[in-house]
Amino acid sequence: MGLGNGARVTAVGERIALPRPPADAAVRVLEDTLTRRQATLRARRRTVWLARLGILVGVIVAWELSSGTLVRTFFVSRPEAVAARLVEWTLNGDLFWHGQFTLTATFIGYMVGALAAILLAWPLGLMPRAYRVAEPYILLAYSIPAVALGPVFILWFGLELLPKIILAAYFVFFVVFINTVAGFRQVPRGLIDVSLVMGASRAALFRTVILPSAVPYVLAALRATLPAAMIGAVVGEFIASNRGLGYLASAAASEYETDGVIAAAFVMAVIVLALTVLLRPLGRVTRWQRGVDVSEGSL
Amino acid sequence: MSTSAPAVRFQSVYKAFIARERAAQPILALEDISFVANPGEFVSLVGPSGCGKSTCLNLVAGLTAPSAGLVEHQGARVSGVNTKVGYITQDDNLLPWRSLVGNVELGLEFRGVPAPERRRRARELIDVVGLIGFEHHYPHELSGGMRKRASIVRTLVYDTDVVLMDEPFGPLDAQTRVILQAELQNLWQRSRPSVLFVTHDLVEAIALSDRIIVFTNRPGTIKREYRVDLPRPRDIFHIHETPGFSDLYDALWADIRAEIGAAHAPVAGERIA
Repeated sequence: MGLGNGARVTAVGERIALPRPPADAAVRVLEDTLTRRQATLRARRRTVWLARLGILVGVIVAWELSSGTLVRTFFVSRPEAVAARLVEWTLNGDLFWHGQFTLTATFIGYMVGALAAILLAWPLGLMPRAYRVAEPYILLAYSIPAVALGPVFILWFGLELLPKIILAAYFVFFVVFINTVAGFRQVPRGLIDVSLVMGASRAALFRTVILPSAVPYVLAALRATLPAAMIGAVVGEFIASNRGLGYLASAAASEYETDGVIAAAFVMAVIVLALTVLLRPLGRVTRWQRGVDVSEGSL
Repeated sequence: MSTSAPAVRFQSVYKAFIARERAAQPILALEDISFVANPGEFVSLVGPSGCGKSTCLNLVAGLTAPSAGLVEHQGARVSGVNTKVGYITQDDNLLPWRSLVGNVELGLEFRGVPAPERRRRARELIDVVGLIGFEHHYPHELSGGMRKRASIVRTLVYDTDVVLMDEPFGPLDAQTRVILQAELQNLWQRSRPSVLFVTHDLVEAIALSDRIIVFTNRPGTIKREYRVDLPRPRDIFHIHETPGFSDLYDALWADIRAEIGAAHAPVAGERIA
């Protein structure tokens, strides 16, 4: 038995080549398996959506039945009053007029916060010692309740769009910053060592190893923080404003119009939800990431 | 540089570590290590876990510096990362965002080899290990054995005169392991670099090596050296039927067993046949 040397060994390696085409009976088995699988998935999806719809209807019915019986209507309003308020705001244009200010502050704040975070995290993520120096101050700044700073921001930046943008950026900045630093720091030591021994220059190392390895972390943070930007903008509008969805809610609250508060909160929730769904593809952009584990925020 | 210079030379090398940042005591990993690997020689380092075998490879690669003594590559002291050796690590360390061929070309890219030549050389070796058809697959789409093949040819493709291998077949199943050992012998015979090969598998060490260096428990010192005189090319799949195999295996195992016995309290009546 002369197995084992030279070309023979390579022949053994061919076992891993693509499988031969299956016979007719096997093809039928494969097709049936696929069909059954697809049917199962369809059924499962339908069940999930029906359950979701059921919960929505259940909550609205419970709300309707309890309002004025278990709880005073003054506190919780009624579904039809909220719906009526939404229709009214839509028809008289309030929704769009106020919405544009909130969305503008959200988007600009998001961009500014994310960009500043990435530009600051980049050098700090690559310089562990500099990061150690900066870390306590960054954590300190992160620990400040942004809402408490709101009035000061108004004092510094006026009543217009600027303080809202800054609050929105503030809510985005830290999550993106911390994730980007983590992205730069989590690059497996082995990948870096192997690349260095292979002859990578510092620039090549950054371009081919460190940056691609960090990108999924940054994208996950960008995906998770868009809703936070909107919360920041709305907080700003709550503190001092005469326009925006946050103003709409706070104005209704000051008149004890519960239906207005709930309607405004509902609109904001729907916008945040829509933005989150819209950004979902940003978390997993490329084929190589399938099967690669990237820890990310809760959204 | 004279032609007679050994490919790798260790001269009274010591290596001490501080294992953790706040550890009170440094650990001595290597103590007075001296050996050479000659050009074209396949040398295996065997010994109990934690005896500093892998540290030896890191020293040759320049990823860590000796605490005392001298490590030379081609007659020159290693200081700083040594890009003139190839290093096949225990983990395959492929870039997950690069296809198989992209990974195999990586070293050539770092070394400034033009794209057409890169492509040609990468494809040639991918062919040798039977991975044609998988060039554009990403690492997570490949099996463990395929990834290991990729990481080996990625290092061999840029033709260094010394190749370091750290338990490259450790995590593989028994069959894949033997097939890859045979493929490695095959690849090695194409260009005949010196190889420093760390392994726990004594059969593997005998099948592949010209010389086997046995390390003691930590601190790692050299216990003994064995010359493997089995003729080449060897039939890896039936290596244990080769005359001379069992004597060598028994001698190696006796050495290793003494070291394992020294590390753990002996169990009453424990006996290896």
